[in-house]
Amino acid sequence: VKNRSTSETSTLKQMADALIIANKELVYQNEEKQKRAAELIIANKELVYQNEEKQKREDELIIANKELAFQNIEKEKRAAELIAANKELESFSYSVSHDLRAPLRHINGYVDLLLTRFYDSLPDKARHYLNNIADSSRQMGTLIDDLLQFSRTGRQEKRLVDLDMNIIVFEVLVSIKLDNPERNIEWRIATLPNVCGDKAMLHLVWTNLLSNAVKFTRTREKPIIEINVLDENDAFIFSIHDNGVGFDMQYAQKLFGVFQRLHPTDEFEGTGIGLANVRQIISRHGGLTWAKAEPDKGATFYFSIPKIKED
Amino acid sequence: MVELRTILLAEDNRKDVELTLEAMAENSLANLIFVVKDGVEALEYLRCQGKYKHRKPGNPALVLLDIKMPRMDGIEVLRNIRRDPELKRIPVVVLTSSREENDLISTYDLGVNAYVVKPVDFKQFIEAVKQIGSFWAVLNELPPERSQ
Repeated sequence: VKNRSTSETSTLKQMADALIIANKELVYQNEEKQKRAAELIIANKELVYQNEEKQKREDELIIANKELAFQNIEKEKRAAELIAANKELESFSYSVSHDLRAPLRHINGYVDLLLTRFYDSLPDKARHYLNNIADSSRQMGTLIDDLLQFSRTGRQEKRLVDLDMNIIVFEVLVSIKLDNPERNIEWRIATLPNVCGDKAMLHLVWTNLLSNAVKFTRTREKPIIEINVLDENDAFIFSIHDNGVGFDMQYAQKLFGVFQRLHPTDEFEGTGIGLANVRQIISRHGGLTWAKAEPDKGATFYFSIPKIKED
Repeated sequence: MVELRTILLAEDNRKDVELTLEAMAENSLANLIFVVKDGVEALEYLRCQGKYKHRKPGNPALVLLDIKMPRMDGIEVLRNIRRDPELKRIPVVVLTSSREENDLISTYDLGVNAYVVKPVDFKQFIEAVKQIGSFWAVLNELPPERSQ
């Protein structure tokens, strides 16, 4: 019996051991299940969060889209406004050229008629007054023409081609020499490079700068005008140096403005549009304009033209 | 003796009319000018209509056209002239204040014979009027009157 009971006891113990193991297993599995559950809860929360984020992004996208649409509309509005402004400018310069010129022509006409038909019966004072009226109206005519040309240059489309600056400078010099046959100027001209630019516009730039140099060396006994070029990395810098009357650097800022003059008209004629044209054209080519000078010692004007095509 | 022929001047500004007549007078051409003061009147004159119903028929040697005029501008007058079988061969010269590119293009497209910008300087204006008058009213050979 004792043996049996021993054997029974051992069986029971085995069973108990097995139960304990099974129990532990259960506890373990339970724990695992709880862990999974917890993980699931976390995953769920993550999903919810991600969903919310997605929704947020979607909302943000909708707002961004609306913003884009709005910006597009604004851009179209600006473009339309620009076109309208351009049209207005065009009709403005039309009026300037037509409507302002007509009364001027009348003033000139009647003054001329007075002076030719009634010259003998007019006192000297009256003739003097009439001559001044004629002079002023002529000057106004020039101002109107210059202003028109300035506004045209600004609106003109530029045609960029490969240009030999030597040729342009040569052509400009030919006409300047024709216009000033009495002048004996020493020209020192460096060999110039090719640039990418609009021929007519650059022609105007050289014409303005060179005729300025010619004009402001008029009082010199031995006028010298030098044309040079500097090869910078991304641009050519052209310079026109003269030994003319120069100007005070204090007023250099004004120089390139419309109708700005640094010398009285009685001494040096001109309306003051030339350098404004130069600046406008050069900046449309992506370049810069500047000048250095000293009163009575001459002036140097610079302009740069980028080597790479602008547009 | 060269036969002198009429020039029709369409011009709305009375000062411009007076100065043009003065300039023509300087060149003894003033008596050739007939003045109308806008485009509508110009066409009435050319077509012998309205108050010109009873004028002596025949086309002028030249129509001198201002562009900016009330009621009907010069470009419209030119278009009408070129469309009209009875008028289409009349020489037309635009005499205007502005060298406006659009005007140059549209008038040349419509077959204008010349485009002259009135010089601001009166001496030059006289010279311009003289050249226009003597060329078109004297030197130029006119087209046959009837269309064929």
